[in-house]
Amino acid sequence: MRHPVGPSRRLGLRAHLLALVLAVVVPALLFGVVAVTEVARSHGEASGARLQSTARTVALALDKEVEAYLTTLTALASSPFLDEPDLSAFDTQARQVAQALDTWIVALDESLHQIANTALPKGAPLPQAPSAGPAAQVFATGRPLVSDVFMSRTKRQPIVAVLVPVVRNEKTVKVLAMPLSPGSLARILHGLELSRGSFAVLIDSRRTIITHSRDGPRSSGQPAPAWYADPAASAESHGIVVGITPEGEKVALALQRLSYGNWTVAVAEPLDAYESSWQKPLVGLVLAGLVLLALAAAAALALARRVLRPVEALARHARSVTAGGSVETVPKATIAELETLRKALAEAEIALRDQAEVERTVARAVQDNEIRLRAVLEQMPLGVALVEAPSGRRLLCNAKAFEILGDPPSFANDGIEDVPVGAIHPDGTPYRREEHPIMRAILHGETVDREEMLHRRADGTITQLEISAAPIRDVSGGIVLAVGTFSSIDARKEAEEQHRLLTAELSHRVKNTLAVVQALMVQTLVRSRSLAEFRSVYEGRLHALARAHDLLLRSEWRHIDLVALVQNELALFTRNASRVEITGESVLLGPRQGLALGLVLHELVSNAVRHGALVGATGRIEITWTKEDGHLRLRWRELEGPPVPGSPAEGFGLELIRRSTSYDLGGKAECTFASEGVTWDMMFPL
Amino acid sequence: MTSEPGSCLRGKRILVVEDELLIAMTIEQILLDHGCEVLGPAPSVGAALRLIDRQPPEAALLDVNLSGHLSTPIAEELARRAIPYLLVTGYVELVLADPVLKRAPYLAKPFTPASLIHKMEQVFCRPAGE
Repeated sequence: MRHPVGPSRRLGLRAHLLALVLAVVVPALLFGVVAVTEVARSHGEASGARLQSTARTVALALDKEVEAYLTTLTALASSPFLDEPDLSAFDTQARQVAQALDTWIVALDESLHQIANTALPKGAPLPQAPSAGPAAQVFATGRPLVSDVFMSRTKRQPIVAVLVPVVRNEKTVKVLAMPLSPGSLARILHGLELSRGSFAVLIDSRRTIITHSRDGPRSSGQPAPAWYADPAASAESHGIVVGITPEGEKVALALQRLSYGNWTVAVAEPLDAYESSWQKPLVGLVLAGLVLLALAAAAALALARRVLRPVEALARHARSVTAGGSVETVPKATIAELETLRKALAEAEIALRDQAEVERTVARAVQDNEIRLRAVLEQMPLGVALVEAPSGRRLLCNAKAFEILGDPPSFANDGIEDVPVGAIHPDGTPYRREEHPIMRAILHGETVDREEMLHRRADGTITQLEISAAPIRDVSGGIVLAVGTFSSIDARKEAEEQHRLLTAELSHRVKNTLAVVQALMVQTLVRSRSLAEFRSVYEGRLHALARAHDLLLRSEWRHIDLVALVQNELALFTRNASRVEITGESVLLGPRQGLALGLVLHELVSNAVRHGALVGATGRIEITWTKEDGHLRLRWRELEGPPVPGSPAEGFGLELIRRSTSYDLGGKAECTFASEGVTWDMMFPL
Repeated sequence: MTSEPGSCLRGKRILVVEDELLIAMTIEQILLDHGCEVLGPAPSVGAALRLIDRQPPEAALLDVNLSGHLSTPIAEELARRAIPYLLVTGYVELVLADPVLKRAPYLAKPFTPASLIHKMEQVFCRPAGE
């Protein structure tokens, strides 16, 4: 069996190899991605923590600074010089302290008027307007305060200050305020060893910039972007927020609240630097992964080609073998299994070729045999039919079978219901299936030899068959076929019937002739005067009868020519044309007419010889006939004979002439006697 | 039946149907010799039927094959008229093949005068009503 080898719609080997590669690579890739992500995340976290740690360090340093100011100012607040009405002693003390800290100190009374200010020269007038802002808050709460940024009236610059209450008898009587030196704050920020591009910024509770590591005091009092100190944002992102600075710089920001005041320190690092710290290794990992993947893919591709190429070559080869085209050898495969497959296929191909060759040889032999069988069958003078057992289905019929049985040939029942039954009994009833000779051969293994039967053809005509049948057995002895041979015996039967009829007819004629001969003898005998006369007359009549029979037999008992009949009867005298003159055309007489007229002519000749024109040597006879209206008119005229002695006695001869003309010929005969001879005129229907 | 040959035949009018003149003449002669009255002889079916119609016979001798025609119509007419008849034929098979004629008695040709008379007595001289 051969199946078409074509590209299937199923997944090919290529796809399967790809799937195999993917099955291995995808989990590894996923694992790599997860690992890289994890590394990146921990790197990111470490970067954040570093930034956060920097922020905390800055906050701690600032807290320390503020605490130092607060401690100093609180110590000053407890100075007894403050309780004196003249504050010059205090002023001196305060100036010493302020100078040490590179700042100045202001004292305020309950009315928020300045009562001392080290920023002004000693004795210089103090500002008269009450001081608004944080001082009032300190009076109200009685607690120290670290202020937000406000505008110094003395210095005309934005400052922040620490304020402490001067408590006497549990009552805040005065407030001391000491601005934090912007320089000192800036120093602290500057003292940080920040990486390049990084900066730190200190902002108050109103998000006003106190100092900036890069800009120093210049940016003091300016608002900071909202997101610098968004506590919600900082909580969400593990203390790291990302944003864009007013300068348009993208940064990551770590925020840290200070212990004093509502201040926040923000340490910023450019996002690039921040991200690159953990993204670089990530990118490296990803790149390395991609390179590895590409290498692996290339390797897989090369391996796949090594697998696919031999497979495709084998498939191409198999196709060309199937198509019977040119046979190319398949190159050796480098893969052991494929090489085994190639060898196996090559062997199979050889085996297939051998088998195909055998099949072709067998098929040719079968075909030749069938052609010979056909030729033999068609040459057979018999109808031959090969019938399948046990179905009775016709397998093979030669042309003769069609000719004999009609088209289509049918046997008893034929195993097919709608085919009219062919074999019939003499009374017309069809054969039962098991009665038919061929079916008997199939069913019982019977060998039938020349059995006669009737067969009705499809067109209704009936033929008589002589049929023989024999079973054909296979090697195990089971009947597989039956062969039937038959011929139509219609012609033979007809010939037999003809023969029978002919024999019967012959028998009848012989008997009839014998009866005639007997009657002739009886009639002659009763009128004979002597045995010698009987013998002479009887022999003459018998010979006349025999001659007429001869003429009839020459035409196969069909007719007698009148000319021949007359010449035959007058044979002795017709050689002498002067005595007998015959005038008449050829007229064909039927057997009975011929026989009867033969006897009549014989009687006429006999009479002429004994008593008439032929007695002497001079007499003549004229015989003439004509056909008129389907009748024959015949005249027998005797001339110049010896004188007729009157009307002769009515002898049997005359009676025979008259009665035969009337009885056998259905006509009449008239006789005229004249002195020179007798004349007969006869007329009868032809 | 009777000791005297031809006794019952004497005076009987008998139709002779025979197409051969010589045989007809011979039969005629035999019948006349035995005191029978001869009707015919008739050579054909038509002639025989005309004779029967004109002058019904008491018995009949029938040739079977009249110039190729079977004498069956004559036999049927005779049977219709209850006139006994004897077939005289050389053609026994034709008689046996014909449904009407095969039941009739027959005499095979050729015959002798004695065999004819004997057969005629057997057939024609039976008690009336048989």
